Amino acid sequence: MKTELIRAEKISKRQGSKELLSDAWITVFKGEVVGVAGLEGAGRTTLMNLIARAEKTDAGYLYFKGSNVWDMDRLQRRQMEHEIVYITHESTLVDKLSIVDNLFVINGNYKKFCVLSYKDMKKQCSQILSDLSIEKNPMKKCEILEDNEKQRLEIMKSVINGASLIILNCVENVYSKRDILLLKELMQKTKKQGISYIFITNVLDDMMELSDTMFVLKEGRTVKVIQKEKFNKKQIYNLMTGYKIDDGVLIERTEGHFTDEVLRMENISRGTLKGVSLKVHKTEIVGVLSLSNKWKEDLMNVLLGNEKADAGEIFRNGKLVTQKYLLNRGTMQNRCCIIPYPDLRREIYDNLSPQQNYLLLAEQKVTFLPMGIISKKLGQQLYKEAQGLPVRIFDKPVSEFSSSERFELVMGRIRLFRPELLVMNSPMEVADLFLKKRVREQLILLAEEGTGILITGSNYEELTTICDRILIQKDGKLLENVERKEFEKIDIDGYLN
Amino acid sequence: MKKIQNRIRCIYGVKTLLAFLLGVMLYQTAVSERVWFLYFALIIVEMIQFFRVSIPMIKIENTIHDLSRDFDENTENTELELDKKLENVFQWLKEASNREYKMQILRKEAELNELQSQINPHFLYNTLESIRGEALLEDMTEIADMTEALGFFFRYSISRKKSVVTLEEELKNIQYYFLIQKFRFGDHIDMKIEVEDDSVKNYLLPKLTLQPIVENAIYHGLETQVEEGHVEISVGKTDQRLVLVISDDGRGIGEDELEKLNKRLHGNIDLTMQREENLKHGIALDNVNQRIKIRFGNEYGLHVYSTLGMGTDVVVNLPLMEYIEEENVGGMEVNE
Repeated sequence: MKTELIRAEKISKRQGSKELLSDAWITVFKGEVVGVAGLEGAGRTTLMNLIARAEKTDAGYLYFKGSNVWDMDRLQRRQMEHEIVYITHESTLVDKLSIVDNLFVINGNYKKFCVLSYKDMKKQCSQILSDLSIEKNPMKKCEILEDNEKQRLEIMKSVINGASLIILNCVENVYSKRDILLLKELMQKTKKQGISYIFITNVLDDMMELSDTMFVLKEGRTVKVIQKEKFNKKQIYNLMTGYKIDDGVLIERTEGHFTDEVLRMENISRGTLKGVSLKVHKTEIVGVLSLSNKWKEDLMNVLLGNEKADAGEIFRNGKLVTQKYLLNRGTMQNRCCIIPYPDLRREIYDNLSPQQNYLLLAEQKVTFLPMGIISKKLGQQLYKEAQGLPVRIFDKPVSEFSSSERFELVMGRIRLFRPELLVMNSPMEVADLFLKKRVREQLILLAEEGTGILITGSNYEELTTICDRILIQKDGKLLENVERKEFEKIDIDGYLN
Repeated sequence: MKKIQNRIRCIYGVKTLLAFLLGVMLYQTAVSERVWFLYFALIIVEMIQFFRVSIPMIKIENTIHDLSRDFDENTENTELELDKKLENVFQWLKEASNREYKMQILRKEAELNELQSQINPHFLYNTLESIRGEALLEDMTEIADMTEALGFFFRYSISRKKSVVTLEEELKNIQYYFLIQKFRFGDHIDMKIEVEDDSVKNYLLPKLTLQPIVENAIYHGLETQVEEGHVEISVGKTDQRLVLVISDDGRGIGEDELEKLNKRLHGNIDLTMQREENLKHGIALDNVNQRIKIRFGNEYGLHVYSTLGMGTDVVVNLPLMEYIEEENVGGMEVNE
């Protein structure tokens, strides 16, 4: 028989004039994984915050193990707070401390070892790491762990500390297939101990893989509850949006002959990059499939000029370039845009207005004009020229921008600048359904206007929807170059495993 | 404590003393007549102030003091009296409300009795049996099956014996009901029942919980759509509740209408049970919802999930009540 752990009914919550939740329902049973699907702004994070922090609502009821949360006494509330753990992409593990310290010492878990015996703790930690498929020395600092390894470790830490419900907000996490399988394995193991999960992500495939039940939210309302055996991707997308939509359709790209090279890397080695060679031509979209966030990070750092390659050479427009050249981006000489992080918040400056953010690169472009500054009239003209840019984003501060609006601003800025090379790290992976579509449209438009584009990602299917070529990375190297016409023929799992 | 009175006494005591001393001083210093005039004028002003201002203030303070003393003495009795009066009012309101409610029930029962007296059920059952017999003789098995289903359905619906039934009985009734509907709609509609495990069939619920909801699904969800329609009933239980979900893949309900519907369903029971002609999806669901809430409380009842064009799910939340061998007949409740 199912035992109820959390039940939220008729939840409504407003923030000023905005209705965040209007009729949200969710029920989580013991030993169950519940996925919460929805577009950005559907109210998923609000609902999770509410459950995790037992926040007051404008209407509705919240029950934890059958008791009304808002009628609980202090002791009961404390117990509930102890049992519900909220894990986001921002890890609470302390990077400068060792794995064993993070796991046992910080939370006082060493007490069960009677005395602070590192030998015993290390032994148990090694066992845990082995169970989590993390091949790292437990005495090493946490900073050596990949993001998803940290997440699994945090889950384990919560389980050790007596959590009964773990809320995973993975909207900003990027998972490879292997990561998802490892996470699934961990969840299956802990479910048997009665641990429940609520899982939020923008990647529906991942949610369908992990969840037993899915609650679909739309505009603050729960619109459907679906059991695992009835999961249907198309139906779920339709419910999320309220109308029929197709996802992942292979967009027709005109088969081009790419001749003008804008970027060439030859045998680059640095950190996790091992002899990486690649080329990007004008109007071409090249994808790099990599399951390692560290590898992508190292690639970005080398292209940004933040780190000098230990070996190899980089060419731009056929000419050998130095680290200094790479550092000096956004100029007429080096019309290059690099977006190193999937989260576009880092590309936008809170202390600048939306207009200033928008004109950022264009200002650099006109720096060499006699005036040296952009005149007001020129600025206005530039706004007018902004095609397809939603005007409303100029009316509010950038700190209030949604993901879609941030993307529009950054892409608007890039298109204004018209770079010859654009490099983006995992542009689609933290995007919801609508934003993914928009990302594809904009990148294709940019490519057709003459920009050479290099994007990275860990989802092969998503890369196939826009790339002309996909390079497959494994063990630091680029193993294979897959042309568009071969996309469906390739056994990608065979390469990666 | 009479603060004002004491203060006035104090002030005027001092003033009198000062006036006396001043008079003595003036007398001894042999001042002019004008000074004596001023002296007496001052005394007159003070006396006017005393009688016109201070005395009334003292009187007011005394009155307040007396009132509060009386209030303190009589407070207990006053509160009791007030409470009792309020209690009487509430009691009267409650009784009036109950009376009104009972009147409505009685009215409905009277209507039903009248209806029943007009439709003699035995006559109806016998007639259906006759039709069934004739159908069998003519080898019209479909018609025979339908009349059998109709007979069972009427027996179940019209019978006043039990107001709560087992899930098994309710599911059997819905299957007969659907058989009748299939005769009309053919392969255009289909129904599936999924029960988590057989033990839930012994749980109890109000009679005719499922049928109005399924009927609603057929007529509002599936009837007008071109494609084949499906109704699915799934039954499960938790440690707290019995949960029934009736899903259809029909037209669905628009957002505004859905919001109004759920608001009505979540609200407290409405004893007036007013019908509104413009309620497209409400009446049957309201009826079932209210019967559940009246019997089990506001925390149980119905909730609807729906998206226009993508079907509807009606979730029925009920308490866990298991069937006990000894049962009171005549429409009274079975013990939980």
